[in-house]
Amino acid sequence: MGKYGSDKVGFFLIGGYDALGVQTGFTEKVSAVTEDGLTLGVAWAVNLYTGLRMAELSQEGFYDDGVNSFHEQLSGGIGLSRVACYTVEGNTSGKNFIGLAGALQADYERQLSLGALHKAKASYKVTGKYEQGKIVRPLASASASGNTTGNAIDLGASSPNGGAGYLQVTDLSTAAVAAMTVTLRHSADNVTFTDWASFTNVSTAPSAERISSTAALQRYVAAKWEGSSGAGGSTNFRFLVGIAKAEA
Amino acid sequence: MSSKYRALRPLEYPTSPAVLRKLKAGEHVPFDQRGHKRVAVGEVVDDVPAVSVGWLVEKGWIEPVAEPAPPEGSNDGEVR
Repeated sequence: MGKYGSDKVGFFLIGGYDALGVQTGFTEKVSAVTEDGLTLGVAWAVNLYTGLRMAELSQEGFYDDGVNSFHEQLSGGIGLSRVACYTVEGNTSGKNFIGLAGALQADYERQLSLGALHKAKASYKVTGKYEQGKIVRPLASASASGNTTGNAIDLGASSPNGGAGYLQVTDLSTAAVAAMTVTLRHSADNVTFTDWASFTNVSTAPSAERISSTAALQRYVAAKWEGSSGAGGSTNFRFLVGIAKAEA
Repeated sequence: MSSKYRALRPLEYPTSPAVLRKLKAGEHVPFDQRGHKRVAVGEVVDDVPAVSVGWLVEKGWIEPVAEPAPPEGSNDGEVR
């Protein structure tokens, strides 16, 4: 395991919104919820784990009112819980990423000061799981159909309890396709593959989805995508797929 | 032992011996060079990669198909 710099933040996606171009930092925090267990006759604090964990996230960057940029993402997101994905290890197949089942935006703050560009920031309370998974299909644009079967990622071992799939769609031109179908597929030997789970057909962007299944997840995982016929024209489908094994 | 199997779920696998040798050796083979065959549920095939048969049967994704028994008294038509 090596050290990583800010250039390795490969993506930071919330609900399909990609604010990496204007974002200057973010902080994540995962905590154990504890209860004071101090009783009489004890001189040192006692903290008891309640079995509950929680995660928090905050982001900050330059205020930007471009289409699908920071202001559009944050100003309309207060109170919304959206699927979030980010990586600090680079946007590369097989690298780790973090998936949040629901990042509930708690606030949106704009900061203005003399002689400086406007800034914006937001914080989130995570509802549901904070999961570390593997990038199956890095964030990139794609044509109408394809798959990563030839570059399936290796989870090291199967997951008998299944797992969760993450899909983030930042762009989708519906001129060429009416909807895209994205499916996770798996194999025990990287030779024979079958489908594991499919995301809901995507017809708009930005959008994001987390799917989970208790069906056993085999060691090798790939993604495939297909577009239904549309009115014609060039396809612009920019998306990310990730997989997280279920906790044992 | 039967070499025919019925697919119990949709499958995809390469059929080229050269590709299978490379994959078995752990070599990377781009998807466009694998020549995947798609098998639908219920389809009976005899070319499931040998390396995959064991775990596919164990997972219940394929099942062996018994070879039909030869008809009785069919050696040369001699009346007995």
